[in-house]
Amino acid sequence: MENYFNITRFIALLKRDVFENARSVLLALFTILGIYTVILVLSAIVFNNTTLAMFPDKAYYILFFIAGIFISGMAFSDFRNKEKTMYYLMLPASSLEKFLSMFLLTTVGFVIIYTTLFAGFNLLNILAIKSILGDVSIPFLGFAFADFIDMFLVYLSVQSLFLFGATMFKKSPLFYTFLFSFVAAILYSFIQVMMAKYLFSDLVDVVSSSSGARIVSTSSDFSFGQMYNGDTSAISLQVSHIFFSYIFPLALWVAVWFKIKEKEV
Amino acid sequence: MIQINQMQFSYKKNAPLFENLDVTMQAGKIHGLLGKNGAGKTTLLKLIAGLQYPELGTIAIDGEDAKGRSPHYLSKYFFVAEEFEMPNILLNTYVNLYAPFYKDFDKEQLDSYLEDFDIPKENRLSKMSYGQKKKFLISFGLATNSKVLIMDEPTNGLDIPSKSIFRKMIAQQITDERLFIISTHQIKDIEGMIDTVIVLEDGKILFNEEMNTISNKLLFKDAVDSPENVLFSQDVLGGKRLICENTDEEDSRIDVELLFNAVVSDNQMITDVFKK
Repeated sequence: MENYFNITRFIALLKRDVFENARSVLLALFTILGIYTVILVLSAIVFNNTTLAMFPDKAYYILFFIAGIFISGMAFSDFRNKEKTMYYLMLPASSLEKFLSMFLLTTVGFVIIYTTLFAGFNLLNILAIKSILGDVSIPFLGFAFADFIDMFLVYLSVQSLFLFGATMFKKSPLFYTFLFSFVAAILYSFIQVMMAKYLFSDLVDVVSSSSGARIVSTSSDFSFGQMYNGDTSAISLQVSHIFFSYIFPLALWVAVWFKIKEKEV
Repeated sequence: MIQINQMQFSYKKNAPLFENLDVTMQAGKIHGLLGKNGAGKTTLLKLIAGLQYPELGTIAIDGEDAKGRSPHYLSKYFFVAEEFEMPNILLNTYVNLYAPFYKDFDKEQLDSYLEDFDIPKENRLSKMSYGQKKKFLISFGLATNSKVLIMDEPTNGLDIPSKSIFRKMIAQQITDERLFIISTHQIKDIEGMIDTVIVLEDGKILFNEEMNTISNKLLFKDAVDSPENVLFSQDVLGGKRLICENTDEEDSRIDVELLFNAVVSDNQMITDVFKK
């Protein structure tokens, strides 16, 4: 057990990872939130418009994903450099601890830092807009906890993908993970269309057009729309939800742990 | 003790670098690992460090396999690599962050080494010169008090006074429980301090003998001409450097560079002497 997890060692590793990644993480967050602030304040000055500022919860979610993708994609920065990889792998901590440390930093740690910074920037934005436009009513950050949990579950899937990319691609992991995801999404759609064609070939006709694949019913006594909105569709959605919310991230986290464990220099 | 049994490793399929390699390195000794460029020295060190995995066979420190790369195994050694990149943090911060991973780390020991090497503790690591970084890593490695200290070209980048400080430190720190491996091309830098000479060529151990044994078996001397019973000779200014069989138990200073050249040029004659 000592060789898999030791709390003292894990805390030492967490401390080391925070120190080594703090600069780049903060730089990314300040840049993203800084751009957001500039857009808000400029729209208030130039267009005398506060519409953007009226929905801080929406901005919070959108920027959460953008920042989260950056932070997760930049994780395991030691792997970008051969010499740093050597010293990272030789660090006397288990692969599980190395994975857990980065997992915590890109999830819980990220939520805490991002939310704190967003709240700070949002407060500054409100003060700046009020000083420009006078006494306008702008809501401070406020969102339902249940919505946050839903969003966080989706984020975990995205985080797992980019964390995996960070261990898979030595150079430009963010770019290659995007590229990989794009190709995978196209393949996934293609497989879905092919499966639909195979399963319902006697009922429907799957055609391709410039706007993508469309399924067209060829049977006069069968409504594909009805089936699509029926039980089969509900089950299919449920399966997709379970796959993308639980199985997909879990499988990728295991893959990340395995990559750390098996990595050679 | 490091034990390598029947180890096979290759970068490319069908071209193994190491095949059925067997090496044992005893504790309490400084092992000098010598070899030409591309002989496999750094790869062997990486395999011992668990940075690369053998295809067959085992590599173990005190019976614990490198393959698992367990924290216990990783804390048994410290590796001073030839090429390294230090994080952009203060030296003291590095020590505070990395020392907790080594249970026998001695801060006072580190301070004393840094003082000997004349390295200011308030420096930012990324701003240091290559030589300073190397001296820091050597100091840190020694202060971890790990059982095995692996050093790849440790004297590269060290100035002349630092080389002699380095030799002194290593000689002082070797104990019955510890084992040091020094891989180098700068044979003169480590000549007086190593206990074992290991010569690696094309993934094979050509020679692995202790200095005492070498001294008993071989005689190193200068001459104008080569006598008949010479095992190896090399032209030097004003004559020849010779290696002969030490039949009369004479004392001579071991010339490791000459021995290395002899081993890689005509291995059989030298190794035959050690079989007797």
